[in-house]
Amino acid sequence: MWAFLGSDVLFFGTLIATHLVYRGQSVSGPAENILDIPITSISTFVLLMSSLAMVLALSGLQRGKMGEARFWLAATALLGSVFIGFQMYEFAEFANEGLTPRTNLFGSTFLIMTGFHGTHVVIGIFWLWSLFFATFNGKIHQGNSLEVEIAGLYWHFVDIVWIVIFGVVYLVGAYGTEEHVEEAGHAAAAILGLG
Amino acid sequence: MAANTGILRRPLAPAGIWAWMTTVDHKRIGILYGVTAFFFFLLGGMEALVMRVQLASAESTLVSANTFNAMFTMHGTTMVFMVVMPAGAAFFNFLVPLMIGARDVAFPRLNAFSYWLFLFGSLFMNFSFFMNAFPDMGWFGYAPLTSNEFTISNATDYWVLGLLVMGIGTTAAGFNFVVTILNMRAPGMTLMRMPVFVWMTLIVAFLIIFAFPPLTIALAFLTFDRFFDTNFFVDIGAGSDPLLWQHLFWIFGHPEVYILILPAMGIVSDVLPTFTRKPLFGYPMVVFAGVVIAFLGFGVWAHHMFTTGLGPWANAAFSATTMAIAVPTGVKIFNWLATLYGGSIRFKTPMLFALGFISMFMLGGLSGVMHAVTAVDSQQSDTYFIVAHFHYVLFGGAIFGLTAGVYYWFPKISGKMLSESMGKLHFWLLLIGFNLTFMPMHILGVIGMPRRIYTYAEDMGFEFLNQMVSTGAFIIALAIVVFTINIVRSVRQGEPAGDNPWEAATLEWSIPSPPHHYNFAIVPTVRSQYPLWDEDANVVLPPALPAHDEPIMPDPSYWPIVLAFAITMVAGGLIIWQGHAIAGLTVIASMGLLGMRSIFGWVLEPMEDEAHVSVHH
Amino acid sequence: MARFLKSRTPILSVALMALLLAALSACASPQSTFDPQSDAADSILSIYIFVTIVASIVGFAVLVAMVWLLIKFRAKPGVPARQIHGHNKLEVAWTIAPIFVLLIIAFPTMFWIAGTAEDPAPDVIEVEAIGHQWWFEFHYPGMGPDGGDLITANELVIPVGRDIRVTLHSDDVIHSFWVPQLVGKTDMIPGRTNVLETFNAYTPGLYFGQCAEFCGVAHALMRFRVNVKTSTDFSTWVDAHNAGPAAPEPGTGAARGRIEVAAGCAVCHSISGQPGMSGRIGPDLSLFGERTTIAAGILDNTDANLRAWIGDVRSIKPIPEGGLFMPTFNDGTLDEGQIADIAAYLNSLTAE
Repeated sequence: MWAFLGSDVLFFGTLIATHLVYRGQSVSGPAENILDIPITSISTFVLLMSSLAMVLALSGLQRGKMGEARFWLAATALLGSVFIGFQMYEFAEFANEGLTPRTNLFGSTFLIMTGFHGTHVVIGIFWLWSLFFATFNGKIHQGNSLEVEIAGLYWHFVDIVWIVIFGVVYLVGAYGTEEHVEEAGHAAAAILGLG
Repeated sequence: MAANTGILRRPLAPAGIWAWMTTVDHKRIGILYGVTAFFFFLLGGMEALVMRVQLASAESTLVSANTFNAMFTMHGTTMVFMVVMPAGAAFFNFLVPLMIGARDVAFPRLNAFSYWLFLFGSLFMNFSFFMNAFPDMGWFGYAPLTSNEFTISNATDYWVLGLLVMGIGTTAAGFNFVVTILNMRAPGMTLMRMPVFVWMTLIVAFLIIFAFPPLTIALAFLTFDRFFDTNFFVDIGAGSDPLLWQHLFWIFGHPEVYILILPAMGIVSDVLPTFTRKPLFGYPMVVFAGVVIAFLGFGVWAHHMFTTGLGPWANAAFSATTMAIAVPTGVKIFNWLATLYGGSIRFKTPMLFALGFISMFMLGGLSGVMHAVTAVDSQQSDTYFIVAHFHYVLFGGAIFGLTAGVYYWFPKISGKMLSESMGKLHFWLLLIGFNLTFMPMHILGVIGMPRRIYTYAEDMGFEFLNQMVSTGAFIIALAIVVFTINIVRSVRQGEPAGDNPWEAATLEWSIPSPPHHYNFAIVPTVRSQYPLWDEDANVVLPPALPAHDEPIMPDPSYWPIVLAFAITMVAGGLIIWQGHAIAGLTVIASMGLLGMRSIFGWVLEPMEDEAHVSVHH
Repeated sequence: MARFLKSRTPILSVALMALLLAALSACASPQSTFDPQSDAADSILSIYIFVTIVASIVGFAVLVAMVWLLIKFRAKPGVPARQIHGHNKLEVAWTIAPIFVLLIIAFPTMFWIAGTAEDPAPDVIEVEAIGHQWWFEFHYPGMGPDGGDLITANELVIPVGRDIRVTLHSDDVIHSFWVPQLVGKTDMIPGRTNVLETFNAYTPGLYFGQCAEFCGVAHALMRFRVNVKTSTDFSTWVDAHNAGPAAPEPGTGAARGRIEVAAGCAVCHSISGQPGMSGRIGPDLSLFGERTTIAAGILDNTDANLRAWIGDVRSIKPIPEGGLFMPTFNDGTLDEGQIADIAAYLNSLTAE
């Protein structure tokens, strides 16, 4: 799992870097001004809480408390689903306000990046539900808690990626002034010889 | 009873084709990779010969421009992704567990999955030939030429999707080998006692893990641009920058060339000691140099972009890092030469190819240093000089090194020896043909012949040298014919090899040729880098284990091939969707469901089936 | 004998290389980087020769060492191999030595890079080059009629002995501007402005150029010429370009051709000084009679070639149908006589 996460670091790193390089260069259409920080803060908090739930699930399983493990596994999956719900709401709102992947550079880079993240979360949710059901037929128990630990590693990674995206894209994007945003974009672009 | 997680019973003792399709045995997977890579080597070679016949005369009209452009695109794509990489994988797969004293890799079904994705992805891409959509935009697919606006046919789609499918398999193999090498070494085998080939495999696996994601993203962006009208590379009016593609591609592309060459370097590092009867000179430095090359390899990518106007600072920086990477490369070469010093050199065929590797790779490395100099690159870039450089390192380097590996380990894999006299004939023909083909290309580049041109004017003065090049290409073809005959004949009627025909030192030579399916009867304890040359090495082979004492090995499974098939068909569905939306969506949905079902089936299936476990315990 | 040859493989390779390098001087080409005709190309060649010498010395030394080792330490019965594992001082030595060699190469490299960033002379001529599939468009800002742009195509006319600064754009895919005898190449990238290294040609003459970045099916046939003229000739050319052509003699083929061109070709093409002929889709045709080549540098400008080109471009270049590409005309749209007239008119556009 660590090896896979190593590659996923590069995967998301590239997505975030592309977004940063193109920042400030959309010719038309909505950009950072469309982001709704309060709502996204709530969804970020929900995802963070899901990581806590994941830790509690693993802890319960390692101590042989199946009831706890099941409860927290389900909680993690549900909290993750709430996050996805928020994401879907956000994307629908953006589409209403005229931002789709086809609209402009911001649309393409932002939506594809968060789209891939969301896909990772959905895969995680499927995984968590599978583990949840597996606690009922004896396939997951105290002895093979490593299976859940590995899922936990994945889940925490996906959460950390979201923290980075929220910080770099949302917070800096919305609160950095126009000039800062442009400067940041130009600096990144200049280093790479782009733009 | 075998536990089933799918509709079909899990195969426990399959035979024939079904055995090969469901195998999870690293040795069989290695053979599959090797045979497939060889087939594509012949295909890629024919693509090259078409080009050489066309270019042998000025203003030739033998093939159309479109055909020629497809030939250079597919020759490059085939040789890089379908020949050299899988040939390396063939060796990793067969040898690494044997060299570290393990019974298989860490994730046997993932291993099979990697192979099937490679096979299906490459067949998928080549299938485009029959759909009159053979990729013709260059193997590096620069934007915006690859956008919908400039490439109307599906050619680019087949290329992008084929690479995505193959890339998943490669990345998975990267994970597999990191875990295998770090976790499954025999007792006593510290990292610094591993054969250099295993070290190089480890480094390559890390390179794959970090280099393939940028390519995956670049291909994903291009897919979104072509299928869903996003704006990553193609809408200049909307501000997108074609150079983004180049950066992402080369951030992958440069580490990729080290992925291509390090396995061959590992092979040579293990062949030389055997045929000089002394240890590799400076083992720690050779290993360390490999690690340094891997790190530095991530810092040189923009030397592929010197002519794109990055500006003096970027050009200077990348010029410096590119020159720097010559240092660890030189260190390796000097250590190989020092291995010869004081040795007792036997000139068997593997040794000849290893020596060929060292000399030809060095020449290629020197021409590379030449165009690390930005000034010189402004004249040499996109000319035949560059073609000469990378063929010296990839053909004179990687292919010669891999061929040394074939001659060296063929006895272990098949139990038979390859013919020495045919091997030497192969070597000489190849060396002469190779130099005759690629040395004149240096000159062609310098006198002004650009790359990727399907013809040239009579008054350019290129014809004589092109004729030399084309003649050399056919000599190479002859050498390959000799090689093929040697392999085919020796598989059937070669001399029996015994367990250690070369009197080599590493663990794979301590078991029969070919090995039992469980590899080692007794997992060895290792005390040095050259276990079989230890004074107290026990060189008497233990007898084969009776069936009821055989260790429990992972059982075959059909999920890897089914999942690989499903993923490839999703890609196919995307292409169908472009022309026929409903049909395409049906394929995508059904194959997607099959894929998800496969994932569940695979995850729920234990590595060793309960039937076997209950019998043995 | 076999063993003798085996161990001398590297020497044979070196000999082969030397032969081929000798062949280099025998291979003349109008696009050779070994025939520099400007300050820029000259300084690149000097660095190149220097780097080649250094690399050859290193390569030769290593190959000779290898041959010596193979001969001296070939297996001899009764002589065991010396079990040497390594030698730290040697490792240090052969790590440091290449660093020195690379530093020697790095210095001229860095100085050259710095040099390319310098400003050109004050009397520099600015040219804008725009890459298209599959031809080159050239603008001279400020040199056209009324101080606008002078626009031409496929043959870049410049004066000798003056700094020339070319900015590079592209209208479609990535192309590359390369005229080896005058300057190293730089890519023409859509959405981006690049600048070619400033260069100063030594002698008047015709220099061959070619697109050097794969740009689609006809990339191999996207070439151009740089026509270096004396200062006087250059001024004459500019004036003649801006003044526009004199009307052709009535009743001649050229006169009939002029009407055809105004009626049809002018939709895509332009001729300076001719009202109504200002199409910007295809190459500019001003002073066409002065051009040495047609079809983006691939055919000599003869009457026969021109008629063949106008009649059916697809018989000469693999240009796809449709889009904004030049249509085929000899399928009934124009008859032979009309094509001949158009060719006559175009080649009548000279500086006289």
